[in-house]
Amino acid sequence: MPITLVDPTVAAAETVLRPALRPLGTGHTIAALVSNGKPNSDVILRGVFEQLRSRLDHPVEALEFNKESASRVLSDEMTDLIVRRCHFALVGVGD
Amino acid sequence: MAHLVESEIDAIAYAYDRGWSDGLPVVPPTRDRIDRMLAACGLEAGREIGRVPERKLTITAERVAANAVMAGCTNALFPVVLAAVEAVLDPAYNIVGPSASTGGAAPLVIVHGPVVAELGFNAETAVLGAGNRSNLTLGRALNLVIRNGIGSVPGDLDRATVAHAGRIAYCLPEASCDGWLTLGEERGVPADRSAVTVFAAEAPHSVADHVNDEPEGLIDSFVRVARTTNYAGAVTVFVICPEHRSIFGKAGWTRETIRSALFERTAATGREIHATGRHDDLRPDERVTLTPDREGLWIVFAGGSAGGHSAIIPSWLGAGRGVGSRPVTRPVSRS
Repeated sequence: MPITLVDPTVAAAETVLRPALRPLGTGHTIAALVSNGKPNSDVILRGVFEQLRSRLDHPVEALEFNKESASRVLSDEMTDLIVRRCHFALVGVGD
Repeated sequence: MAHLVESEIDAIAYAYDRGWSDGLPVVPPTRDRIDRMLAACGLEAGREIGRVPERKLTITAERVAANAVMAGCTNALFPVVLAAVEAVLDPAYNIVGPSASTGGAAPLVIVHGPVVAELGFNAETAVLGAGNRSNLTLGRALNLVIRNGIGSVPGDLDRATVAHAGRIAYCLPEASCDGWLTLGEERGVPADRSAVTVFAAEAPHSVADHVNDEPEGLIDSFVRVARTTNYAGAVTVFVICPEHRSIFGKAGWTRETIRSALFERTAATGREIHATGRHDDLRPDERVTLTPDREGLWIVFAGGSAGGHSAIIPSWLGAGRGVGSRPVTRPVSRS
């Protein structure tokens, strides 16, 4: 007689993610540089940003964000600020 | 989704194929086994035990029971498993951090109170080793929930560089000792109540001292080992064996005497700690204590009666002195 097993795994709740409606144009642009708090994350982000800025033909400004702890997710307050003020984000991940 | 197999042996192989196992054979999670476990606590299958908002997950009693069955838990152990799962899902513990980190910490479950004797936990010989069903299956069930419920699978969410065997099972039942307070009592758990404390922990570091028979020399053996560990936790656990406890006790030392001596003598400069390669954000002449305050030095009496072998269990390196993760205590509620 067959045995029925109960799946012990948990699936994530389905969510619909909507991209922000701010296509990159040719006007003044603000980038969020989000450091994960690991050593040199901010250095790498600044380097990538400078490379990016040198390739764009319109003004780009950077706002830097540092997590309270490398072990915690980005705070809701920082996330909200990025959504409200920035056009795109460069994020440091990993070690 | 139903998973149909032809036999118990097929079910074990199927669990491997599906990635449900920690690498050891599991007890097949059948509906009747899960229902009996839920009934032991009077819980509905859909009862929410906790959430992991970062991963949009809700952990239900049924899923905890399925993993407890797979781990080989008895039904009577299920309330203890539930308390441990509730503890790691507390935001203070920050389950996603230690489960994902390259640091490879494991959830150490410290068991307090009458449940230690009632369910036959082993707090004595080979307390952190093999051979006891309650110790091993409690730790294993929690790790399976973290694997199957939260997705901490090596190479996926779990990015541990090396990790340690506590990722299979890591349980430290606390012995009661005449004349000494227990850690549980210090944590506010009444002596007649049971509870668990879960702590994101590195592997134990051995303190072997068979020479010093007075406390001044013995405490320095603990200090020497402690100074090689990370200074990153809100808590460091000192597992003191009966022989060592006896040396402290005969000299009139209390838990507070031991704690004070450890706190003062493990304090180091930023330069010394930096040289261990584990910290890069300290000023050279800064005074750094092992934990932010002396209450963070936790003493647990456990181990076999023979041998001068104690242990120090440091926190996960990413605990950030408590900002990244803190230990959490939860009562064991039994229906």
